[in-house]
Amino acid sequence: MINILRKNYALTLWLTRVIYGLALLLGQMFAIDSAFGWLSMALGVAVPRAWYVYLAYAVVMTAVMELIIRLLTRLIFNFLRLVIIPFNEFIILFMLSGAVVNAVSGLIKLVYLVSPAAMVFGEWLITPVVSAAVYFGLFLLVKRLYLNDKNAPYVFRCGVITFMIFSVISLFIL
Amino acid sequence: MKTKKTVLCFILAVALILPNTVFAAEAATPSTGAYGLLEEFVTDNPSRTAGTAGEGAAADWIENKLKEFGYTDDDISRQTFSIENYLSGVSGSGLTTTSENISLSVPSAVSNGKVVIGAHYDNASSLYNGYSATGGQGVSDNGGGVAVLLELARKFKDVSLDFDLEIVFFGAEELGLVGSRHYVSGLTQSVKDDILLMINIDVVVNGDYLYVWGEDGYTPQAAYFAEISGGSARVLPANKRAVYGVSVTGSRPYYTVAHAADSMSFLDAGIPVAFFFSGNLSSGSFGYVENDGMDGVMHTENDTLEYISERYRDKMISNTDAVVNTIYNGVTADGFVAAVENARDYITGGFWLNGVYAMAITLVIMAGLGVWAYFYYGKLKKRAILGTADVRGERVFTRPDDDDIFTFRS
Repeated sequence: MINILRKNYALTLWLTRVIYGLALLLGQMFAIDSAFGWLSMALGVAVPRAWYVYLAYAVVMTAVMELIIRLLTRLIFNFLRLVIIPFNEFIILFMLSGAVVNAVSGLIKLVYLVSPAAMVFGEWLITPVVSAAVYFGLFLLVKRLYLNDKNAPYVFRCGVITFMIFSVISLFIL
Repeated sequence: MKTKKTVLCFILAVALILPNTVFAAEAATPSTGAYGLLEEFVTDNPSRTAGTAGEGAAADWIENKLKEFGYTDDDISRQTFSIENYLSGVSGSGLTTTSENISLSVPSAVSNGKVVIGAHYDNASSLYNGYSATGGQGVSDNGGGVAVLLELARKFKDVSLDFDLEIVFFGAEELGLVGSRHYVSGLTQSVKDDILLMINIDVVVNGDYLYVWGEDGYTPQAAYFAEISGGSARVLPANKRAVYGVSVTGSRPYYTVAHAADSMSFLDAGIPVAFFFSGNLSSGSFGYVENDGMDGVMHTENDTLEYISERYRDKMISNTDAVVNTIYNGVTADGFVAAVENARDYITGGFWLNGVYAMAITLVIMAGLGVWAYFYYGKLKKRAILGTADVRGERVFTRPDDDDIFTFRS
């Protein structure tokens, strides 16, 4: 897989963006409904539930998320001196992991359609648990591709601390 | 010749006058049923903003109408409550700091509990809701509900029921369910336990479909009324447009359109509800809309008799009649008590709605993951020292120092 990525980085990046955007729509289906539902109420205008609204949301949010991911990753890599991991390749792997988190979370959240009350526990539990599992998988992949037994513990420690900080922040933002 | 002219003039005059007379007679024919009451109510009480003289006049009007139906002072009571806390920053001429609920009791000889049927009679206002409702008459929200209640009051007069019935017209709903909250807060626990069902009617006149809602999942009472209605009213579709965010009632950390009504005051107190409203939850738009054409009138200046009846008169008549008939046939049917007596079992418990529990469980899981990560980190450190040796055994090191492993730190 990594060889395909390295052969045509630009194409892989665009494919990653498309996958990330689609997964974002699934993972944030209820958030999108909420945002546009509230917007409709606030403006007193019924926003049409049309494909182009979803497309616009996916494009804008994917662009914004990629920008945030690139900025934060660059910042964290520099701060923690993680020079051994190639930045551009990691961005693609991280975005694909994010896509998996969104897709799996989105599938689990379909239970809200049957019982919206599940939203209360679901919103707290689903994303952190799924994220923990997927990002551990990302660590194993990164370890296999770029790390050795000597530097893996340090990268793992950095990853866990970063994950915990962002998880706690997101819990309290929620 | 003169006689002929006179006869012709007479015939001509009759021909001109007669059709107008007939048409005038037709136009003067009063509307009947709930729709007739709706026309009468909103024409006489076009402005009923909570805390205004208009709301007080509407309360008087409702009481007088109930007396016209044959009810007496003994049957009707009025409950005054303060809305002062909700008017902070609001100024307007003639505003008072109180509102009222009007309650009609229809006691039964053999009481198997109690049923409360309610609707709010105030209307939205740009004074405090931020709506463009100025100029509206509150026909959709909620003159229709008042008309249905009045028609039910007329139908229940002299009907013998197996349970006590109370019909309540709530004030100050648009300020935040104030009237119904006040009503529920005044009930003792034994009275709350005694209530079989609260039926709420709000925004029923012009939506594409009538819905009946009992809770954010299956409830026997919603299924019961949907069946009784013969297809006029339906339970909410699987996609109920649940969205994130605090409910307007503040009691649920998520929101569905059914939460924004007086029935929530009862549901929060553990009383089962059946909430009738109209709209289109299968439309091609985000959130709740009244109809697929997205011609929303609720909370706008278009919520007038003229605007709505020009466009939706048939819908107004069929919707209000359907709600009246569904409720009346439903509660007078032999199987009613049996159908709703277990409705309490379907109310979502406080635990499942309490985000604090969910947060605590999440933090415990996160802490568990942290502990697991700590041990996994130890395992990685051992591997760092031992290379590819088997690190599962505890033969060499139990806890290597940080200095023993390679890091990028200088």
